[in-house]
Amino acid sequence: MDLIERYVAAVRRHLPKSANPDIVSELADNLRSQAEEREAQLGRALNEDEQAALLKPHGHPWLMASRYMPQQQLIGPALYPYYRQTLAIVVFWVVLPIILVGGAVTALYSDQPGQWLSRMLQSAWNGGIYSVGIVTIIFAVLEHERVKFTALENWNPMRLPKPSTGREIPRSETVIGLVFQLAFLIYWTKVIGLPNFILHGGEAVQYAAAPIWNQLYFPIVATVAVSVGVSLADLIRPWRTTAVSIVDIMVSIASLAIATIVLRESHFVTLLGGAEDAARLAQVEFWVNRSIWWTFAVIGAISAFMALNEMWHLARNRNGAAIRFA
Amino acid sequence: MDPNLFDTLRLELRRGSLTLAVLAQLRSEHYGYTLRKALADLGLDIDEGTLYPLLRRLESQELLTSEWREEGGRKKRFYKLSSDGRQVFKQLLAEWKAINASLDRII
Repeated sequence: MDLIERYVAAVRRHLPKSANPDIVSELADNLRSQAEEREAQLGRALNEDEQAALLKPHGHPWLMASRYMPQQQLIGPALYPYYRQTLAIVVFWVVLPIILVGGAVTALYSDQPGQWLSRMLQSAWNGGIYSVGIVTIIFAVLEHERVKFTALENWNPMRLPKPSTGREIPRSETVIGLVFQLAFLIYWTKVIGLPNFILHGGEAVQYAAAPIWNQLYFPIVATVAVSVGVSLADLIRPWRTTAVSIVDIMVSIASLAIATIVLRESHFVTLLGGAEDAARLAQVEFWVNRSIWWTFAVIGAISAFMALNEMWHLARNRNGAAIRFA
Repeated sequence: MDPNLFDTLRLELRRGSLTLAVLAQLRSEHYGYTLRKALADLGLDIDEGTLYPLLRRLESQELLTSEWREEGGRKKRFYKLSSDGRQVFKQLLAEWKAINASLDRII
């Protein structure tokens, strides 16, 4: 068997079973015609090196066979913009929030909270690979079936959004904030069954919440829920409108008011335990209560700063607008 | 500058032109090898890895017809323009002439 026959046989092996068998016959005939022309010039049969030189420009058999495949690209230029946009939406709006919220929940409720980072990275990797893979497969099928997307062909220029004039809020910042807000809301409303204890020296210790938490339960839920709404608005339209800024200022003022009410108290939880460990429990309880007080002091300070900061941005934007249109 | 940029742009420039050249040449019947030679003699080199899949694609698009016949002791596949192919060729030729005229004015 000469090199030309071996080349043709190799191409046949790489062609799909469904390929027309005369592809190989035609290729063989072409190669034989070239060889005969060369042999006529030389006046003798081609040796193996000369056959190899003739075959080389045709490319590797696998490459030659692949050129006969009906589909030469996984996702063509017509579908590619839709594919890319879908990937961005899936990764940014589905995978990332699930990973971040999942990570926050794991950190809060896992029996091995030290592993939250590795678990989050693992779920990020799996989620990313699966979502990109699934979207790619769907678009490859659409390309194979030659589906044409026409949804954006009838777009209306009159519906183009006005250029943003408000302060830009980075989406990364919003996502991080949203994760903490949602994690806190889940914790606070106990929707996934937070056990009624804290860890102390490796042992479970029950606690009783002070009455103030019952009084503040709904104000805190409402404040965090509205702040989730502000974050979602920032996520959808990442620049501040006057309305969103005002709601954000109100959220900060509400947080400041809650912090102020909390800071009037000094006792927030009572640890429940046996009399034999009373002295130790009392010490821990003191530090837990002190920590809660300082936490709310910091929350109050941050809320005051955020309210003032947002007011300043709002005033500056309004003055800027007045100057521009004066 | 990307050293492959010229090759990429050249490939893009040639891609559509090759289809037009093949359709033009197949106004008269050819088999693959003589078609390639005829194009090369007229100054348009096209490698087999491009030509044969292109012929298959044009045939599947019903722009070409083909038949196997024996010539020189071997069976060969002869291609020629179909009636649809002649119509599309005329349209493509008019388009190409218009583009060429515009480019002449622009350049």
